Amino acid sequence: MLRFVLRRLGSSVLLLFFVLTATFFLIHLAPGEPLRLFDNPRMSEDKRDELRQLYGLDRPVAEQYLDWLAAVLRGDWGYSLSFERPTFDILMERLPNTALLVLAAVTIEHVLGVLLGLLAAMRAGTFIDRQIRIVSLLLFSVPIFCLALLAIELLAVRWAIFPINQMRSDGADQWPPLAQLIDLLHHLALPSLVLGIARCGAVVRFVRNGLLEVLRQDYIRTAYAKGLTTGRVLCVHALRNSLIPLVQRFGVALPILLSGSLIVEVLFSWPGLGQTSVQAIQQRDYPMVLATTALSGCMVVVGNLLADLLQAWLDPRVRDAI
Amino acid sequence: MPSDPLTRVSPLTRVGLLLLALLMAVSLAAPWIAPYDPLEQIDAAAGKHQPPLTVMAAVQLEHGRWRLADRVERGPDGVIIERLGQRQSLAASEVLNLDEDGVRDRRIFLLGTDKFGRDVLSRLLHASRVSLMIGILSVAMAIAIGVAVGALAALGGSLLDGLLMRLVDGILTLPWIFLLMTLTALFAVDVWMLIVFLGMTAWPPICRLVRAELLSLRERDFVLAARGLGLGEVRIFFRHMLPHALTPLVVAATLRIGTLILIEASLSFLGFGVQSPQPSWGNMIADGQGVLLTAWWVAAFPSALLVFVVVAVNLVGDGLRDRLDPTLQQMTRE
Amino acid sequence: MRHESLGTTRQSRWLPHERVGVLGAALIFVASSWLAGCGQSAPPQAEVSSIVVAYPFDIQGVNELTTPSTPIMNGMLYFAWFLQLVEEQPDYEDGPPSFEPRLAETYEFSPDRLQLTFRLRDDAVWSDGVPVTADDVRWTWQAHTSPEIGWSFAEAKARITDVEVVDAHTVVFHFSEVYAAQLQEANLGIILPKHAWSELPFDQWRQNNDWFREHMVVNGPYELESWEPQQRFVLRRNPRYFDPELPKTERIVFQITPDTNSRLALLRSGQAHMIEVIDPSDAAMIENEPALQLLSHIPRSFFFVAWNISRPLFASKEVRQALTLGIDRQEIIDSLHFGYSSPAHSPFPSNLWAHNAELEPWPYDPGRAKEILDGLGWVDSDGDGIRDKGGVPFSFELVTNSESQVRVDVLPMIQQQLKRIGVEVRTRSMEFNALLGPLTDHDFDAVVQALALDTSLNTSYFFHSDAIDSGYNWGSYSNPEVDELIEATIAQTDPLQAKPLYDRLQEMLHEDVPMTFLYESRRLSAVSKRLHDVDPNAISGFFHIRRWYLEDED
Repeated sequence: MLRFVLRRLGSSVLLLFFVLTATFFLIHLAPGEPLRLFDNPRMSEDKRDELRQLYGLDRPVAEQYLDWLAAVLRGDWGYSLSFERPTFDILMERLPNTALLVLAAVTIEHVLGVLLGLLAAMRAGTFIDRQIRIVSLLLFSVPIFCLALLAIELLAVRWAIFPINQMRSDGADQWPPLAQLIDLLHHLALPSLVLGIARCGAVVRFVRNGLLEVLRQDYIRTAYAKGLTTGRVLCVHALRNSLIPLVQRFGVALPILLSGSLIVEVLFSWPGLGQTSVQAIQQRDYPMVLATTALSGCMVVVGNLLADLLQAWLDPRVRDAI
Repeated sequence: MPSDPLTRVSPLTRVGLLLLALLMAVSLAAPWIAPYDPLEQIDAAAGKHQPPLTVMAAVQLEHGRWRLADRVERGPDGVIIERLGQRQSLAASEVLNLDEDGVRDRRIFLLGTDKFGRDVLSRLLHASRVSLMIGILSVAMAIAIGVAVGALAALGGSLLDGLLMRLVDGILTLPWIFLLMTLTALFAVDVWMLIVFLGMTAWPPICRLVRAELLSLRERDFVLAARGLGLGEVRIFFRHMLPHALTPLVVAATLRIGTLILIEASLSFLGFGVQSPQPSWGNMIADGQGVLLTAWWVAAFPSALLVFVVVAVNLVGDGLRDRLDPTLQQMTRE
Repeated sequence: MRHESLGTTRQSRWLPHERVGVLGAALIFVASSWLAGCGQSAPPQAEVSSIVVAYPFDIQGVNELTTPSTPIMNGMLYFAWFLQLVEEQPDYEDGPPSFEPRLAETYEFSPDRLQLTFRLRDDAVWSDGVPVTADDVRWTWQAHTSPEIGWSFAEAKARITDVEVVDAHTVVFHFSEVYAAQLQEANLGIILPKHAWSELPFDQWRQNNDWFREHMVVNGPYELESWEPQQRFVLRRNPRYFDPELPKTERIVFQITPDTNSRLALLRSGQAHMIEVIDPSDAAMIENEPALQLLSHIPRSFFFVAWNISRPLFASKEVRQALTLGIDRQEIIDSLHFGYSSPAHSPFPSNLWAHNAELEPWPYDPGRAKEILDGLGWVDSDGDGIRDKGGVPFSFELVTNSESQVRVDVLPMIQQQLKRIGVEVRTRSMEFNALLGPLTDHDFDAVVQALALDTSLNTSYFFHSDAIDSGYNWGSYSNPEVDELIEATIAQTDPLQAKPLYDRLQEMLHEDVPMTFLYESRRLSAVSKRLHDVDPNAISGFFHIRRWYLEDED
């Protein structure tokens, strides 16, 4: 078990290292430089050189790379050029926000997906089944930004049921904890619903097909033969087994989830990693781009690992195999 | 293995396939069937955000300039046009396309116009061409890489297999949208580079599929028999194994096209993909984002078409899969 | 800045739509539905009027020396948190701007104009109670010019040789030469708190923005109550501000809202009271809202196409004139600016005292443009619709930065217009960050850009031949007579004598066409009618933010 974890971690970290190295050279070779943020007509070339020197950007790229690598190994992710603050601090401020959004979305996605999938499987072949399948196919095919735009325009602007953007109301930090919690949920509702609903189509299909597959197995027939009710057979025996691949799917789907959350964050001004990274790329904030890439990579790697472990815990066959 | 998939798929799939084919044909023919030039801002001020089914008179002036007018009347010494709510008279010498009642030309905006008075229908047709091309070609590239690497992994020995599969695992766990954004932001990307970038990110699932298929095929009787006959490995691969792996590949590729079209649209929507003024579904939707309530047609038509195409692609993919190989269900989805 | 626990003065009213929202959220989050009732009965607190501004960008720090200069940063630093010595006024229509007292009550030049004495007010204190003194002024100058800090505007202080502290409230600036902008350049920058910020050595200033925020003391009308990055920052009345009458409003909340539609939605629903800059395309909508009004001003900037004169294609001024005649500025204005701009012919906007009103902008005259190009031998000899000469087609790339939608939209319009006179334009937009390199390296054909004039109307950064190597003379324009004129305008301290020089300079630029000036566009702000004394102007959208106040809702 430990060997498995170490091996997976090892290969992931190695790959992440290669990606970061490639990113490092890519952004340094690309046109544009970060200190242009400070540029103005009164600035002479000497002044620009002076600034480059202050930030160590005048040295060869290879040398900068080695410095960066050494710093990263010490756990120092450098200073953001546009924020003039340690990138690590900024990311740690944003990470919980993204995590909250993603967690809420994943919950909605799976609760809704499993319920609808279960319903469709129980009523396989009926009207309800067909409707659920059509809806899930549609959700699967609608780009998240279309859904988000529609939700903002209708629910936040026209009917003003939800706040337009951001995470908390002004002055919320002075409210009692309960009101603060509600305020947060109120702001969280729309982005997480959009993200969760947009993604639940795939889960519905997955659960439905998985259940139908399991229902054909011998042990289910045995269960029926023992006189158990359909509901009980489905929920206790079949659902459990069809959920195992769902856990595995979660690991693979995590990068897609992150990219979805990126779009949602940008559209809802959610102060998370996605928004930060879009900004960092636009401003050529080298350390920030590298740190966000690394962090999102780590999130995916850890998510995958957790999914694998969870799957092993759920499924004895996998547990023995690793 | 079935030889003619079309004869055995469900009617819904057939309809989906037909519509897709139709759309592809229309998109390919976009330069010839689009009513107007997708970039032409014929009269940006007067033609701005006209709703669908608008018909306007087009008054031709000197030096290739045009004016769009709601109404044109013949006056005593020229024409009187009603433009932007104002009446304005133009001398006969100024107007090049005069006829008895007014002017000869008019513009019909079937799906309305965008903020520059560009024809949404023409843009939509050209956008479909770009978006479909990106989807199809990047999948083609993903298949080429996926098959090559998958075959190497399956047939190249366990050491190579282990290495390549670690690589595939790794690539699958990367936050690609971040990297794609970085790449497209840093280098001025054109459509071809976008295809290459997308293709490079999309091959690992196909590679896994091919490898699994080949590993199981390797142990099958007919392959063992071929090997027993002393046929070369390369020949066995191309003549005997690859054709058998084709079915799941076609299904996976079809479904993949839908995913990639969505990714391209997202990138363009965020401003990192196809660059304006060249239209793509994503950047057309982004253009209409600000005017969803006042000029819904700018974003609505590309959105609808995008959803329609992805649904059709999924229907076709699912239909093919259900017919061809029910056991594939778990493997090709996501 | 610090979270003082003045619970009684916080805004904590639940707006009606928020209440609905709580219910909506609760319905969906079933688990928390029972909480909804509690939320509505949030404890009643005394209300305080807060102005809410919906703004697209966040601030990036509180120290202007190490933070990129942006309109929001300048607005906050100069008008909310800190004091300048004197305050430049937007009254530059008939002559150079006047200056109102801020930290300095008076200023006076010595007879030889090499010394400038400021007399500071004695009732100005930092928000921790420490008085603001001449020491702060001198130390600020040291920080401005420190190479360890590397302030990007340090060049402005190059001709100040010393800042001498005479007594606690008197300070003298010594200059190496006499020139027109002495007062502007001495006054550039806010006065920094020496007692608080000198604890951090200059060589550690960069990369320590958090430190300044944690050690922030202010002497302006507002302090920074709180800052949630990418969400909002809140200004709160500074009780130690020297004028007890000001500011008029207790709190100003800046809601960071990157999306244009969201900003408009906040304003229209009454959740925000001001948007500093709106697109001309949204102006009509604002004018139709009875509760909102539109304010506009002409910014001190100019929009242009700069031709790269070091490229053979644009070397002759006749070619540049022909291209200018071929660009239909009115069409661009009609379709992109909705009548909120007018054609321009000079870098100085029409409301500026130095503007030359005698000059007529180049008209749109494609016929004459064609004749000029024909006369120069640029004819379409191969019948492909593009003029050529010696086998070289008249074709070039027009670039701009992608952040500005209006500029991006201008490209295809110019492309289509020049196509009508047989000139092929290829268009490309890239990020400003990536564009600046090619511009300062003169590695481009033509560029659509805008530049802002500084208060001293110093045009040497754009048109002087010295600015080819260092500065923003991207197109490598060089004309000895223009160089001389620019130097003369910089040196001339009497505006009456400077005016003819400026007029002549504009004639020369009009004739030489190093740039085709496109239009002068009004900047539009949308403001709730309940919000009074807002005065966005060319100096800042947040000018005199200390006077803003909100009328009570009926």
